[in-house]
Amino acid sequence: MIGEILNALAIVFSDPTALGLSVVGVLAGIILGALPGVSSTMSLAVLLPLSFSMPPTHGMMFLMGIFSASVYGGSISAILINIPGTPGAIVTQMDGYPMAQKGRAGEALTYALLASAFGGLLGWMLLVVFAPVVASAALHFQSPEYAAVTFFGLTMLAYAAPGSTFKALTAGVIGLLLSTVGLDAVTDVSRFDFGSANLQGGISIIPVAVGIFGLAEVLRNIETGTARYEVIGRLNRLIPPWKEARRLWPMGIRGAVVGAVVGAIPAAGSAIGVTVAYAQEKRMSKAPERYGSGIPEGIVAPESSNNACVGGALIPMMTLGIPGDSMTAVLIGALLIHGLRPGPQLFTDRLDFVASVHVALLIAIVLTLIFGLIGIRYFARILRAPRNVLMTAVTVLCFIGSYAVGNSIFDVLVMIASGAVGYAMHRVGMPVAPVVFGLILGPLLEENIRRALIVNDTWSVFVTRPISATLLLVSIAALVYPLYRDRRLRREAISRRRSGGPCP
Amino acid sequence: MAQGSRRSVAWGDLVTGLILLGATAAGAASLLGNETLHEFDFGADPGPGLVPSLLLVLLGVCAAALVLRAIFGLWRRIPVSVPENAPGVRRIAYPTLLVATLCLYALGMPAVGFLPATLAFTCLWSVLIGRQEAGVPTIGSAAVWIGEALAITAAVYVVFAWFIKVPLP
Repeated sequence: MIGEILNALAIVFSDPTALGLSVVGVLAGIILGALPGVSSTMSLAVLLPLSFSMPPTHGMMFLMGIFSASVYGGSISAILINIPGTPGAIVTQMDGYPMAQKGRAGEALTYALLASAFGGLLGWMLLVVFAPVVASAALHFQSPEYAAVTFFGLTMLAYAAPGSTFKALTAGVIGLLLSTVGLDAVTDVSRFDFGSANLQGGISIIPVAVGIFGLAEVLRNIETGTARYEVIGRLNRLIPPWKEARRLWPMGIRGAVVGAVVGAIPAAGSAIGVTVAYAQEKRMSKAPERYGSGIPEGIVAPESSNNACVGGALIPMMTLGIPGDSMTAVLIGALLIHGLRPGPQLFTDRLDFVASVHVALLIAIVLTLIFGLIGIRYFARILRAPRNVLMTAVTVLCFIGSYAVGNSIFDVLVMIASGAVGYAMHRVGMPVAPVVFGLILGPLLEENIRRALIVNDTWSVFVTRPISATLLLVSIAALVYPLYRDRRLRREAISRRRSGGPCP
Repeated sequence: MAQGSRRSVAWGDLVTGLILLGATAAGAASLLGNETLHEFDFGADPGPGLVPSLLLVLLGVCAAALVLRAIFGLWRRIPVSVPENAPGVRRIAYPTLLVATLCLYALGMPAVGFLPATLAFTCLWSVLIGRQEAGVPTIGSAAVWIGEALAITAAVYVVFAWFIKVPLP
């Protein structure tokens, strides 16, 4: 693997176009990630169509730049205007903004940048070390194990999604059903086409992802005019005191390990990683009451975790074809457009491409650090971008990007419908990411269920093979546990009401 | 949780459940009416109808559970996460209008061409969102918003038609 990575590095450094695309991706990622109302997933989904005409390696340089940089970019608005630009920056604002209010905005931004780079590099190293190990193990999987792993990924998403597990599961089932629309891959029988030639071709992942992660967010944003926010423009000193920075290294390491591990769990996402990292540091601290008052410790651990999640999330994506989070779900769509199916076969048939993905991420982390240091004094200006320009441009990009998938108005209509449905789902408290996960994983799940039944002619094969049985047991536990937890909460609420205490 | 919020959740679940029940019925009708699924013997393969049928059953169960939960309020005493916004006509006006104009944009673009359709769309929404932020526009602010719309149209055209070479109508 190291040899392939060095080879890929040499190729990239001799290709100015590849480096240029990484620079463009990183700059776009920082800017979009910093803007409130534009998440990392939305940035990736909206800009993804720009990569269609690029060769796969160039496309990965561009998309990894956006991916890595936008994760960091969310901390900029968290620190300067107390609104996280991305979900992973939710915890950074708790200490980042108070620190900025104390006149240390420059130091807060620098801590966030250095922690992001550090965490990103650690996450990258874990990716390089562990991805081949997981892929090697997955090569021994047969159809029952693949089906069980896919089912596990979907149930983990339902478990980890915010709000109701039951609603997340329902959303996942909707996604799985959407994946069955069109011609069956094995028998060519058309399903759910309702007489439409367009539907016979199936529902493409990209328009749905662009609609759900892009247009739906625009629809949420334009519900009302937003109140103007106060941007802390005065940064003061940028370089933190060396003594203070030196004692924060262990927190960066701990945060990165947490982030990489959580990121590697399918569907867990960076929001969980940063919360766990922050809570861990607070618990270990001798002065936990200081957290939330504007201390660098409250920035370093979560930001390190946030960016380590990137490397962690790529492990299940590259080795098993299961998204580690919503951003890697969009990346899977990109790979499929380029004719590449992520999974263990990629490590045997296209190790050069796997290495190019690793290199793309490494270069993106380094470029984010460089441009972050150069641009720190100018970040406040990004936050003053006119909202009408931003929302209109994003909408048009969603439109044209969906059209560019197959030069078809039908794909645009799918995008619009997905955006409208995604917006409606948000209004009723139903998470939307499971729909996209279901759409991506549905073909994999069906193919392996049917192949397992063809070979073994019995459903018991899913419970008699140990890995498959274990994964199914964990999946069922992940679905059943929330029901038990809700029942326990209900009993506690009833007993509190009877004793005259406050209702939750 | 406030009583009003609980009612919002219940109505949301009821509408969602009914829509999903309708979708389940439509899907079931499509599968049952698909003669190819019933005519052929697919040998050892359980056939292309198995997984869709299982999923439809699952969706129907989820939808029915949502409807029941809404009607009987089985879980209303549990602290559940409430959608952040209460439904309101004013709140959904702009999103509804955007979806409608996007459909017009999509259906009209092949007829009138990319540039006129995109220009009309960007001008409309640049002004609408600008007005939403700033209130009643002055001539100067309206001119700025129109100028921004022109810039967006030009930038998108250059990137997609010249660099990426997408064959736009």
